[in-house]
Amino acid sequence: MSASEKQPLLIIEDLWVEVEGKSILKGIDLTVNYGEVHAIMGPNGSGKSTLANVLAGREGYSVTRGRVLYKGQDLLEMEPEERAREGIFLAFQYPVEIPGVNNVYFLKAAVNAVRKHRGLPELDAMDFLELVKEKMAQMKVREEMLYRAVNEGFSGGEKKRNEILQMALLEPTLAILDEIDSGLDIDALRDVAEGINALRGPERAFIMVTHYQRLLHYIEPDYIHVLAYGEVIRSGDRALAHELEERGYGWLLEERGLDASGAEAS
Amino acid sequence: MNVARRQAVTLALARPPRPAGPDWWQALQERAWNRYQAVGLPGPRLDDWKYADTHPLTQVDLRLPSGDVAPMDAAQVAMEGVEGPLVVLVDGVFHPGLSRLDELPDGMTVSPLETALGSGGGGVERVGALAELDRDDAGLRALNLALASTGVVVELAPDCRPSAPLSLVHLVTEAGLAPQWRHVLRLGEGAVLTLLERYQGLGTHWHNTVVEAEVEAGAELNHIRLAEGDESAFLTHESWVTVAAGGRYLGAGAAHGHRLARLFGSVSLDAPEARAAWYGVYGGTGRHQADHTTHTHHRAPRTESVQLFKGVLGEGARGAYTGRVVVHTGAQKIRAEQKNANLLLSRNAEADARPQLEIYADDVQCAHGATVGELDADALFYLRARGIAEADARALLTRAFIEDVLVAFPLEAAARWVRERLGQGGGT
Repeated sequence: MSASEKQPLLIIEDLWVEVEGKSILKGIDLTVNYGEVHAIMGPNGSGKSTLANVLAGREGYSVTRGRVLYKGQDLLEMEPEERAREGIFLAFQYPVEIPGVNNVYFLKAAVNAVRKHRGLPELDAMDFLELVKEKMAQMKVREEMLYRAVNEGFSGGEKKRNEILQMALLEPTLAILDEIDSGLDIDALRDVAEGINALRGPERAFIMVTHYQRLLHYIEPDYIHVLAYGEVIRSGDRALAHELEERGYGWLLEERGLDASGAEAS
Repeated sequence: MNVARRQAVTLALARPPRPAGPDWWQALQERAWNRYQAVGLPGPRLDDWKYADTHPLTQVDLRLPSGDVAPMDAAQVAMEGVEGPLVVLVDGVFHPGLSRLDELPDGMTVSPLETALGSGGGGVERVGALAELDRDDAGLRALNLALASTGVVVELAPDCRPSAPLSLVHLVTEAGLAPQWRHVLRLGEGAVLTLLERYQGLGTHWHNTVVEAEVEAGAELNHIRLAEGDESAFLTHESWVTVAAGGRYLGAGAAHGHRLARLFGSVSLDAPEARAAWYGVYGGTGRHQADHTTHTHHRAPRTESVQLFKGVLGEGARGAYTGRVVVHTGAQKIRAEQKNANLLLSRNAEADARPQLEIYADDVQCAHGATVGELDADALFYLRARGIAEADARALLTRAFIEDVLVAFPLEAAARWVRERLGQGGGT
């Protein structure tokens, strides 16, 4: 795969999504090129997590209009595991605890599923351990977490580190980080951000969904999109982040003629 | 007792023309036969048999084993990771060639039933002492005693603690056979034994087993039963156990794929600090029916029992757990816990959970819980979002569901056996 600047990886066109009959996303347009980091910001309930989940293939969302092209393919036709194998990675806002499934077993199964799809030989237990230990050291994840059940009893920070560890192992092409900063103290946030920054490169792109500015101090995005009431109401470069930091979201809503309920103000 | 006002349903199995064994044994068998004729097969009128349908047993042709020893080789009876003494029981007969009883530890004796009956002593006289015949539901154990094919008589002297398990392998190699296995054990004070029973068979067959075990003060019996069958296989198994002061009985059972598999256990905690633990896993697809029924009697103060049973039920399968705990008068400060959880992998699967408590003491701790659910959709998505195929993710979560039962299995090889069969999502 050749990765050059301005080569589109993901194209979202006029995406409308409903959850239980309620419109959540109302005509999203977004293009993400290889090598770019996009931040999607916005107030609670704006549809940020819906966008992340729809891209990863979670059930319970119905796309009523629009399309999503990923590497030129119709993404919405693909099963979640196909998307993952094709390089989409969702770092969960709430990583799921799976009692009874050993973390190291899970990580190896995931890595080998992706490797197999990419035509690479599956790793045996020894090779995998070597790989995972190297990545764990980078991510400052304690080794004993390998032998616990997936996310079970992990602290908020440990869960998020585990997400980034998975990302480092799976080497995705498009990483979607859903509120990766929530529930993290400053040290954990710094470590997680370092892990993400280490993966930045021309061969992949990131979509970071976040409510807070502070993540952007650690991971500088190329573009920022403000999502409110299911629409992108403003896109810009890093400068927009500073403006949001100073002025909040209210002025943007007013400019778009939206009141706090999301209804068109007359 | 209310005698059933109906004709007893009995199978077309006849007593052998020439009874063998000492007089007391023949008299016991006679009594058991009469009892069987009177009560017949247990049926749905008995509360304990509400979810275990014996009717299909009457619809197949079954016969008692002829007594011939089938040609077998060691590979057919081996189990990976299991060492130690081995008793191979094929088509109703003790198989001396494949059994391995020559290096028993000091203080341990294992004799085939017919040998023990011939020589007398060694505990054989205790056959029938625990598995009572008076109740209405005694049909299967009465039949088992009347027609006993063979079995083993096991004795452990005080403080005898063999390091390896004693394996009993029960096989049917010929369709239509209905071996009646009868085992009796006594563990002397402080003795510790792991008993691994395995069941397999080809074609239509029925294993009917009764185990009676006395666990004396401070002794421990780990009792594992693993059974593999298909839609023409039947297994009924009863364990009758008494535990003395400070003794412990652990019953772990798993049955996979039978038309009907019923594992019943009755444990009587007769003296203070006696403990019992029951663990069970069941599952299947198709017309598979599994039933785990336990009776736990707390007859003395400070006795404890725990139970954990899990079912993984696929398309069309039925699984039932009935756990009756009786806290007898004077059995104060006891603790009894029961938990049953079921995973339904199909809308056509059925799980029935019945914890039953009867308490005649006032200072007791009893807890029970039962759940029936499906695979966790969030966990399934999480695994798929990491590239793991849906079928693999389901299998992984299914194995995870039963894992807390399996870690309680007292032999890792047995846990692995169950994982490989039941961890695939209710049958393959």
